[in-house]
Amino acid sequence: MPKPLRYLVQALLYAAFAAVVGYFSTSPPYRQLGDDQALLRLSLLHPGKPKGDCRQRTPEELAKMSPQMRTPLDCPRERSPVVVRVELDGKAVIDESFAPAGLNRDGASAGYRRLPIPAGRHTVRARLSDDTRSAEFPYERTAELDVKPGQIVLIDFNPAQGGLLIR
Amino acid sequence: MEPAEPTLPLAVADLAPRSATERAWRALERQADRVFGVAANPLRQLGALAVLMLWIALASGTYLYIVFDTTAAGAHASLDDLARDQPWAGGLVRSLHRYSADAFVLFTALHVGREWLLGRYAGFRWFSWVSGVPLLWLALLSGLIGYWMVADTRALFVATAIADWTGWLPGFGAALMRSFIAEKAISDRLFALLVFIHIFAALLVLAGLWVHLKRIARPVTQPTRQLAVGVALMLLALSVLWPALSTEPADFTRMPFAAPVDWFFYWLFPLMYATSPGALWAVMVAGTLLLAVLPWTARASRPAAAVVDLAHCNGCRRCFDDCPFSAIVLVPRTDRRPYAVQPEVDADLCAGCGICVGSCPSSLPFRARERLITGIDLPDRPLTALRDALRRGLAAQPGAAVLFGCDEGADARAVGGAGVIALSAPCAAMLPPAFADYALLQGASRVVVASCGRHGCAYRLGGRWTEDRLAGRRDPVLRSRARGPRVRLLEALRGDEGRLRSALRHPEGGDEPPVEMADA
Repeated sequence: MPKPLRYLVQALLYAAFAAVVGYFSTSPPYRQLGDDQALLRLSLLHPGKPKGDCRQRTPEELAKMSPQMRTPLDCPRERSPVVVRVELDGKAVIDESFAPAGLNRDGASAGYRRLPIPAGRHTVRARLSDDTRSAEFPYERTAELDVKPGQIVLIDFNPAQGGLLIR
Repeated sequence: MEPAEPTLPLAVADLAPRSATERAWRALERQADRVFGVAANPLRQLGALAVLMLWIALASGTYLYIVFDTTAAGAHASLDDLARDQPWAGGLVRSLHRYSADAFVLFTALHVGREWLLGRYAGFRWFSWVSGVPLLWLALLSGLIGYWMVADTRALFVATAIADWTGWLPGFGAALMRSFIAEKAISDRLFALLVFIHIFAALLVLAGLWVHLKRIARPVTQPTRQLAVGVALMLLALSVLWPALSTEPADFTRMPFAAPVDWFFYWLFPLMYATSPGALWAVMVAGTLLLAVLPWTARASRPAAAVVDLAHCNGCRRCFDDCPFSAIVLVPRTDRRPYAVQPEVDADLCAGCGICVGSCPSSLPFRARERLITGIDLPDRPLTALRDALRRGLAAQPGAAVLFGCDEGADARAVGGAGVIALSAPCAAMLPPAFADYALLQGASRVVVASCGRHGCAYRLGGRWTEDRLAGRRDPVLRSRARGPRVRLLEALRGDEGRLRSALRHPEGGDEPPVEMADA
């Protein structure tokens, strides 16, 4: 191959490689949501209540224990799972039980879910239970939202801020 | 008593069959050779190019780290201002940083693919292959985190995607991703952590390369100057013409509809959103395991390792110096002969290429013994069989040309015939230069040594040592009386049989001039 032609082909191949690198470093854009979609996200990190009630130890039981271990109450270590139900316009979209962490199931429950939803006006109702001893949902929040395309609706849980948050 | 005569009819082994994919790749390399020349062919130096890209990314990243504001509020502005206010300084460095990282991924993927296509992952090469697998994860981690640090809409996409991916993991995933889900959770400390992970992972890649190359002597970690300059200029031009810029600052209440993603690093997330996070984990873990066990899935027949014969070894170190895979170590002498050391072959590392045989000063065909015994030899392909084949050939065809080829390069057997005695060894560097001298003294009209060259050798250094030995630059050298037009070195890769024929037909140069020895 003549030298000038070789250099020309080399330059073209270098340019082609550069074009591949340059183009795929930004393009084609990835569409995660449709034009009329928004995103509903649930995120929580919360320790459930103990799964069972504490029990008073009898004097005989205490006597059998080592002196430094003689605590009057015998409390179960395992925590309740955290149950979350989310309804969108009256229809259940999330109904999950998040198990506590740890080998002894005594840690916090962590949960995360994402759900693309259509943009527009929605009623979001979220309920949370952290105690298996009760069938009730002690935490509840309902919000009327005008969700714009691309908006992220986050359902969070923070007892210090009143429990369930929808923002 | 002399050992029994070897039963090998010729010192020519059956050439390894080539798969269709390997043939296709080699054909592509040959075409690229025609354009770039073998020495500057990027397809032959993909690993070295990946390392060069890593160095450029590390150097440019060092500068960016100096000016990068590691606070949640300042991260975006610090990089955005750099690119827009200093397009010819900081902006250029930033673009180089991005494009070198992207090119690193591309060169690495091609490097892995090439080694796989050429079957260079099994047998003695298993360690290099397996030790490269974790580097892929580290590079991916560093790249993804790097985009996060920019704090633009692209960063929001990657942060969200990583959160979605890790959030699937039982136990800690959901808890981990809470740190990235809302603006209030994005803290200065998080950005400091991101910087640490980004840099640490990249440095681990560098450290991992040391392990990756541990079993390779004289690893090629730098492309040839011509190629390095070409690629560097390409990156520079790309950075000038297509500067890397930030998008809008991340808004944690809105998801970008069309995120401008870097497909070299982000390819996994569209896959995840098309399937599920669990499916992506399955693909990634299965892919990693598949890569890791690949060396043990190949049924490659392994040649016997080289064997040392202490009675003919003077501990000169040449085999130790020339072994391309560090399979030979020097240990204290055990036979009470007056030499300090003796070579010891690690059979697990030995490729059976015979380069050590070619380096041994005892590999002299002039020795009068009926059976040529040398200090280190291949049990399956002993040097004496090569000499016997040469003698028989010259007895049958006095005055014929002698072609010494290698099993991995151009098929010498296809070129042999009337007037040409063709012999082949596992690697051209198994041929001691004295064989060329010997062939001429035995009546050969001329000698052509066909090697795969400096950049095409399957055993890495065979082409280099062959050229240096024949040119008198490296021991054992070709004696000066044999240097000249009657002994020629040709670079002839698989598929170059036509060039070999042409060179043998036209001693002064064929249709295409052969690669001459530097000093011959």
